[in-house]
Amino acid sequence: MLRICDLSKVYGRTVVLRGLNLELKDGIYCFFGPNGSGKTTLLRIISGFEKPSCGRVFFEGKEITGLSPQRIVKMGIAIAFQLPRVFWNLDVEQNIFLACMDKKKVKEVVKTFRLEEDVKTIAKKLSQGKIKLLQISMSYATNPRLLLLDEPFAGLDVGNVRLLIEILKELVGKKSMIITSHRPKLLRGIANKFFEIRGGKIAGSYENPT
Amino acid sequence: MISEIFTSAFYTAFSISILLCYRVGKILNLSFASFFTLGAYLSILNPLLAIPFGASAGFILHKLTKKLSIANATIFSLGFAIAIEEILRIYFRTEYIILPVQKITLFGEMVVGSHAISGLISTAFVTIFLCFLLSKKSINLRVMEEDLELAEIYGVRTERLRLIVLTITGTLIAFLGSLHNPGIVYPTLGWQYLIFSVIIATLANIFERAYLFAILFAFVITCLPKFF
Amino acid sequence: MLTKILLITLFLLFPLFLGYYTTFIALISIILGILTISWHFMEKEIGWVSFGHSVPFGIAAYLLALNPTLLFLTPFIFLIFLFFSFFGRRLFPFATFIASIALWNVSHYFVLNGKGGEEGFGVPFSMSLGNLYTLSMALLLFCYVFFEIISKSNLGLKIKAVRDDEIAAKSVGIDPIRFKIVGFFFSTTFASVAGVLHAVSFSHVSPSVFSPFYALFPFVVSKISFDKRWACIVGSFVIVSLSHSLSAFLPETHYILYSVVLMMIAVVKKNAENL
Ligand SMILES: Nc1ncnc2c1ncn2[C@@H]1O[C@H](COP(=O)(O)OP(=O)(O)OP(=O)(O)O)[C@@H](O)[C@H]1O
Ligand SMILES: [Mg+2]
Repeated sequence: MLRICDLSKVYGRTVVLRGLNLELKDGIYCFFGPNGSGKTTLLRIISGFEKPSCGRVFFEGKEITGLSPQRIVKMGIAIAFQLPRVFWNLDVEQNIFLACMDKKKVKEVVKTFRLEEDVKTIAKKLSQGKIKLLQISMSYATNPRLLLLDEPFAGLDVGNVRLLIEILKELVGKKSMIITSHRPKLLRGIANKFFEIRGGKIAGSYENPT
Repeated sequence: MISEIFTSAFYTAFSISILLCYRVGKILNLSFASFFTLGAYLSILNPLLAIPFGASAGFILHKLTKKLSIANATIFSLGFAIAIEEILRIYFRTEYIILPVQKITLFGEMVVGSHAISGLISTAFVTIFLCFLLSKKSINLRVMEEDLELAEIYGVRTERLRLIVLTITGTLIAFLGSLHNPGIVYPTLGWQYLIFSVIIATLANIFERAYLFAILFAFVITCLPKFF
Repeated sequence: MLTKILLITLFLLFPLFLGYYTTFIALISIILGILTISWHFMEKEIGWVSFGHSVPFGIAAYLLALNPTLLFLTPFIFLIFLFFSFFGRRLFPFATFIASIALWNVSHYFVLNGKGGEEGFGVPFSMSLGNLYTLSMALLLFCYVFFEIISKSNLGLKIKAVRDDEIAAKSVGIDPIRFKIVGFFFSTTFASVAGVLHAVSFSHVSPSVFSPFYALFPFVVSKISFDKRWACIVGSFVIVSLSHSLSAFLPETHYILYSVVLMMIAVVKKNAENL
């Protein structure tokens, strides 16, 4: 499904990714690693928000390196940012509607993410945790085949973490996902494989979180 | 060529003032247009009057905008500019006033006398400012340009520095307005000089050493018509 | 919405029966009302504050005066704003303002076939006041309804999304530049319609169409109308009639009002990013 060849990313003098190779089949994958190891950068490159310094990315056999984020979303890859980016002056319903342009789908997504109480709330008035959920629900609403979740559990309380895990469990076998997290153990039983990223490279892959 | 040099010195001083206000004072000072006009009107009474009036206008502008964001401060300066223009319009009660222009001969070239004086004053200002930039004291200015909050943490008295910048540039522009006799004075006179200088300042601001590039661009732009 | 439209129509019909001078003042207010509503869309929906809406307004007026066939150029005026949008939202107001002042100064030197310059150009055709009034009124109502519908439609929602966060827009598949262009296009096109009407009603175009009076008019009116679209029409009537009725005692009264509103807004709206 996703193939990454020799991917490198350099900011000025700092090398963030150095020759990363990866081939993923359909499934759910967890990336973990220390702060600054390049997880976010990798996801941003896959979703088109960052151009790689060199290397190529293929999705379902087609090259997507250097395409604009809008094109990549339409091809079926959606990203939920680590720091949420939503439409601050629009309400939750409108936010999700913009992602799918389908009233029925909005109702369904709102129900899945338990945002019913807040459908008419302006995004900037939501709590941080709700904003995070909204961000994830928006990327989910674009109906992607590959969903990239960057630190989905950061900033959520226990209840919402449990809710999110339930949602993820339901998606097992239906959607492919790449999830980065500092708490890989949460994804036990959900993720098919765990990759450790260190110094901009895959440092190891595991069947179970350690 | 001599008159072009005077003119480019004049525009250099004007655009350096704009750059200083923008980079240090965090305001795109549109009031300069009316400070200039204020000076031009005061020159009818006495050119030296422009100094106290310019200084106090700059001071008032600083006091009223010191807590505003860059966009709001700029909008305020626009309102302030219009207010000064209207006061002038009401006080002098004429559409325009014609002033006599004297020409003098310098190195075999006819030059408008007042332009020579404003050019010399501008050159003096630019020279002093460049010397200041080379001195150690300019570090405060640099820090403030980079980051206002950081400057405060390092103990730079940012508010006082802003006051000094706005007052000195205000004085300079009003004084230049009173010296740079264009032959006719009307309430919206200053805008054309402001626009020209803003364009120079915008081009210069692209570069790290904006102040030096302001000199270059002012010279190039004023001398360009000479070559066509 | 229907009641609002009805009320506005009644309000606009009223001056038709009040004699030539009043009708003329009302006509100018209507024309500047179109300008204000187009500006209001730009600020509220697209999120760009322009202090240079006199640019499309004045350019369209000049094009009409030079040669009416040149009006085919008006749909491209948005390119000017698109260019200035590269300065960023913060500097956009001032970039457009400087552009309008620059045009104001330059247009004094614009001479063609011995005409133009400070005097300006005559407009090649004229219309009776009644007809012009009805036409402008219809266009104002159209403009109002058009923007009201757009801002409630999916297109409007996407434009607002781009206003709020371009990166978020990209992440759900909305092309920010495309919707910015569409928005700018609507706004500048209606501003140029206002410019054409203005030129016809004075049957004359002079450099003053680029003056700060027109450049800042929509901003001031929109602010004193508390950012309500329907109130912009009323606000436009208020400022135009104030400036005309007081001009006998105090020339250019509106500028005093402008300066007060500008300074007030700057102080009151403390931490507003887009004002
Ligand atoms: N725009 C940028 N300019 C310069 N350096 C950058 C930029 N973006 C990221 N970096 C650098 O890239 C490195 C990797 O950042 P990245 O956000 O990908 O790490 P991460 O693995 O997601 O970390 P975290 O666990 O903290 O989220 C960091 O050292 C950061 O300083
Ligand atoms: Mg990260």
